[in-house]
Amino acid sequence: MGLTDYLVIALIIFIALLVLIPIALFVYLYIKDDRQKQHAILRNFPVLGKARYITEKIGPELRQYLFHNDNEGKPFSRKEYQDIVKAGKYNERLIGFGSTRDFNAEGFYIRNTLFPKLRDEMKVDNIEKIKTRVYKSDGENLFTRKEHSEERLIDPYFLRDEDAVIMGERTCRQPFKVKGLIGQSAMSFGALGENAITALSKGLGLAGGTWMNTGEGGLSQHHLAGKPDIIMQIGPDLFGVRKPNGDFSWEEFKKKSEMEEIKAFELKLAQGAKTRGGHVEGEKVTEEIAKIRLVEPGKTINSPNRFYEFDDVPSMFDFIEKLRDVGGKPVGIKIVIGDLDALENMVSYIKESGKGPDFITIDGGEGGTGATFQELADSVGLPIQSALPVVDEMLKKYDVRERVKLIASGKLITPDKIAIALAMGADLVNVARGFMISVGCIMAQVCHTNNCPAGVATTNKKLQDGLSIEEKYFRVCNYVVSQREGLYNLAAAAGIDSPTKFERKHIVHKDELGRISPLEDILHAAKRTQLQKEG
Amino acid sequence: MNVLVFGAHGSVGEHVLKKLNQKNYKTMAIGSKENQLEDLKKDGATDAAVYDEQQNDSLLQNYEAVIFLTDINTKSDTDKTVLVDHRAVINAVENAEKQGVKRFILMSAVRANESSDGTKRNIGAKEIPDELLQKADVTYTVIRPSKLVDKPGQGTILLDAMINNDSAEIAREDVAAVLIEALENEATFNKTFDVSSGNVSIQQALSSL
Repeated sequence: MGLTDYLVIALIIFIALLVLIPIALFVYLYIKDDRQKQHAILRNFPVLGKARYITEKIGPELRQYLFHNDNEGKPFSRKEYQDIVKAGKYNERLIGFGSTRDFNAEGFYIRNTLFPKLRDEMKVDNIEKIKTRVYKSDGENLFTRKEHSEERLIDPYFLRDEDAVIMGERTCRQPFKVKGLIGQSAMSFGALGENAITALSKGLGLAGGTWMNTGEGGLSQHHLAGKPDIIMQIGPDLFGVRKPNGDFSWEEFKKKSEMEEIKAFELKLAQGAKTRGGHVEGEKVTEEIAKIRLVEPGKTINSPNRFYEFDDVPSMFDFIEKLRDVGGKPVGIKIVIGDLDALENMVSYIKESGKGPDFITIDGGEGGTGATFQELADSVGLPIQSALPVVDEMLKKYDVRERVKLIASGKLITPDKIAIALAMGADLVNVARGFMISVGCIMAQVCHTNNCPAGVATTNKKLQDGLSIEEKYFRVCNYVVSQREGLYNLAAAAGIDSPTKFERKHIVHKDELGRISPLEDILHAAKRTQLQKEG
Repeated sequence: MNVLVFGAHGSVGEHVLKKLNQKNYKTMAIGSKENQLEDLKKDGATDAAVYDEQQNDSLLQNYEAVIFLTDINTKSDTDKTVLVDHRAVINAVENAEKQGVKRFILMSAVRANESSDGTKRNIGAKEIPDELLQKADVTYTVIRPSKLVDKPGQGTILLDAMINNDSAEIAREDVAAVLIEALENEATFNKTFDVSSGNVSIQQALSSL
């Protein structure tokens, strides 16, 4: 046999394999599908039925990238996502042609005045510039986008000293004064990886006039990396301030309160997305996390859904008084509004006792979380736009509004939404997912699996390698500064010289039929509901 | 030395005030509106006042030097600035002469001399004060920065009689440093020059004029 013959035989074998292998594979899958008992579709339509499971699997990605229109995605649409990313990358919020908001839908609008304030007339403090980096586009075509980042001195858009918000002004030895209205909501180290927390810390530290809430997972070195102002959250499991047996450790608390970066403490009674205790798998409780939280490494943690330290308003207030007394710094509580009677009970007790928290963080039911149950996330707790005005009104009714600052949160990721919350009564606003997106989150919605593809909500070393702290922290800074600038734009349009002066009268609600109504209508409705309940 | 800064509320002005303050100069900042005064003082001005053509005289009395910043601020309406601009400079120069203020530093713009072509309205008439200054009885320096950008200052510049490069730019912080360095640097006396970012230290560049 010559060389040609060998080649011919090789070719025949090759072609045979090319045909036989797929056939064999098909037969194998056919039999496998036919014999399994889990899926009816596969039993009736072996192999072909797989198309359903494949498309179902890649459906969310397809919808997000190809089929959802810009305003459709949940919890954040592509447009909202891009608004955040652009603010972070370019420190810009300009759009062209016009809004894509659905103006037929119901929603809140900001009432502009006939003669807005001039830029020159705004009460803003732009004395100390911020040295950051922004991206500049060099050109864009179908397959490439050329950009480079360059250093830039930007205006910080701080509040003037006289407009700065002060927590615990009359109650604390060391009140917390903040010159910006937007801070980072509670996100624990462990829920987010060290790279994400470090980037956030450095970005917020660079921006100034903002704060970082540690989440209930305790204070880590990563939180301190950029020396931002920190609000340390204390959850029912007392991470970071507990004794080995689980009791509250006044000694640890005192140590924490003596740290310069920590400006205030927040007791977490509930979170918008979950009115349950946290859960951390044993395998995620590494040596480092155990050390920060003051728990045993390798052991699964199931937090209780209420503090053991107190079970009613008076005992909670006593606990708060003691915390403030020992720490000398403001103490607040984080709550979700549901039952207005319980709220009224607490607010009236503030009046009666002269005690109580220095600030109340109201988390809207639409708030985010790393992990919760569907039933709690979807239907427990009021959304922020209903909860906030009610609390504000309640505090005013009992004449204690001055002593309590309100921090609002719940999808307040752009200046307009923040301004509406301020008009509804918020003194300050917390943002969580906006900051996650500015450090690289792509909304893959797998925070609970430790498999975050962007390396944000994961402690997996390999995935975190993708997140460059040095690149991302500027985006965090730009995002928050850009939001502050936007607030000044809106304040000017509303005819006020500082965003701290937003009031109820500056917003209006429009329903599907174009009828407009003032915010007071929500309050009347809330009162009516409460009366009917008492009935 | 006591320095009076015109156009202090502009984007270069705030850097000028900060740097003058750091070098312990006594300063009077002239803004255009009442509510800028607080900002000007926060920026480091010893004193601040609103621009008033009638009172320029008396304002200049106690000062030995003037830094005049033409308000080529991107935030203002360009047409308007041009018109106000050269009249104000002329007025300031005349008053400076009258009061015996010896030092006058003007921040103009690169290619200000091209405006006579007539097409570029936004630089229009900027050369008039430059010429006027050269004739006046003051020790002048006209500094013409290229495109101003918000980058952090690097402390190094390129200095030339004429910079004809469209992509030339300079950080506002650097321009401020050049203006202040020129105050007492004799090499810059009675000279007009363009400046953009480069790689010679500011002091060295000015001294080698």
